Amino acid sequence: VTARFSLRLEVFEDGELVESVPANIAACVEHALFDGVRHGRLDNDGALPEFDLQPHFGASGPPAVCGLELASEGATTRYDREVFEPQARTVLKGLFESKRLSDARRVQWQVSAHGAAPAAHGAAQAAQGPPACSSGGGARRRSAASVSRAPYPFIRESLAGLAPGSLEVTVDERLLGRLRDAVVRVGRVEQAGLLAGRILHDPDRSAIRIAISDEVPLIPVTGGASESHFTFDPADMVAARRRVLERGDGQVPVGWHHSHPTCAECPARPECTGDTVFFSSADVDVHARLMPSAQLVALVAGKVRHLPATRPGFRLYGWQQGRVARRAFRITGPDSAAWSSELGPCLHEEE
Amino acid sequence: MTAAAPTSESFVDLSLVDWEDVRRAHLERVSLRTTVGQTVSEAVDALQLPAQGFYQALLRGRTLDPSDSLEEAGIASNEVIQLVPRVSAGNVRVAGAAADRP
Repeated sequence: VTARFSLRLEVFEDGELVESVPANIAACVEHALFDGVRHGRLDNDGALPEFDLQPHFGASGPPAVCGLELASEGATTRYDREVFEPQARTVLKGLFESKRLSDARRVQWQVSAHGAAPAAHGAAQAAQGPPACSSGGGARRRSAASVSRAPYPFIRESLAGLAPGSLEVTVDERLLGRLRDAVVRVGRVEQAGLLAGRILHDPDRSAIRIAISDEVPLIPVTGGASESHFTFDPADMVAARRRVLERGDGQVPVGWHHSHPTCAECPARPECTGDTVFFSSADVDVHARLMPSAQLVALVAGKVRHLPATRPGFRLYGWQQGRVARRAFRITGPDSAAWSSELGPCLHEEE
Repeated sequence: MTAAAPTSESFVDLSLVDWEDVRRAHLERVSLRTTVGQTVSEAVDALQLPAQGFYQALLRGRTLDPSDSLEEAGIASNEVIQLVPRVSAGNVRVAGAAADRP
């Protein structure tokens, strides 16, 4: 990423600057790369194109940005300031833990582009001089480093039923059935696993279908699972990925799943309209770190409003324009109609 | 007066990959005195991985101690180290934290 300005995430308390760190735009780059390959503007060869970064300033003017633009190969994508929220949350958490911040009510954060001149149309013109920042980092190089990237694991296939440019996620009902059974069986303890499936790409329609069909459970470390958390050994994640690939049937890791158990009384109260299926801020942070590629999704299981706790439901989340958001999904398999009818509103982006 | 004995410094080339095996940083001439933690930090910067949190280094399934030097960790030239994010100290915490449930 080339930019002739310095992009910083800054934290203020009572207007005083407390912290300034390089702002990380990895999520924007991941989206722009995926979008470029999906629409055929970029080859799916793992090569990293040159992206030009421009800030957008809000009504208050520079240096605080209200968004960014990434441009490459004739396409420009706009990203909101909210793409920095996970990083800001982590920085704020560290500042409160180290007592450098004391009162959340007096704290503000912003992303600033220093050295960028505002243009008449709102985007900044590149200032003269050498690039002042890349998308993150800032550490002194101690050795020569080169970076490479694998192509996306797309399977080329005609997706005639999909609208051009669309991205569809499907989940096999037999997988949902297994996950539902496990949630009921284990009860008030979270579970997690790696989702496996195929990523189908129709380059003529710029359409993608992420077809989720299986999972590999992740084993919690001792004491690592409760009603509100699940902790696993990072080595188990690597082993789960290997197990998916060893099947040799074109399946690749396509995301992760976990459950949000209900309260103890819920299973005995079918009239309960409580809902435990959401994506917490901790879940967003995990997704940002563990699943940074734009095609990776997260399935959450638990008690949904319109179903009893004995019939856990599901919602799907994933990357959209550099942010983690709710996603629609479609159920496939022999009994998909019954499942779709039962889950109903859970299948949509909004309810 | 006795001159200090010259110490020879050894270097290795090595690769660090993320758990997806998608992003790969190849580092050349890294001193074996460099710690695992410094090497991981350099790779995370080079790969522009999400900066928040920490990354654990795995070598052939073994978790490396970030305070060990590459030499102490038994790293030879052309080894491949896997990077897996740690959300909380020691382990990855995958949580629907009750605290922020709606």
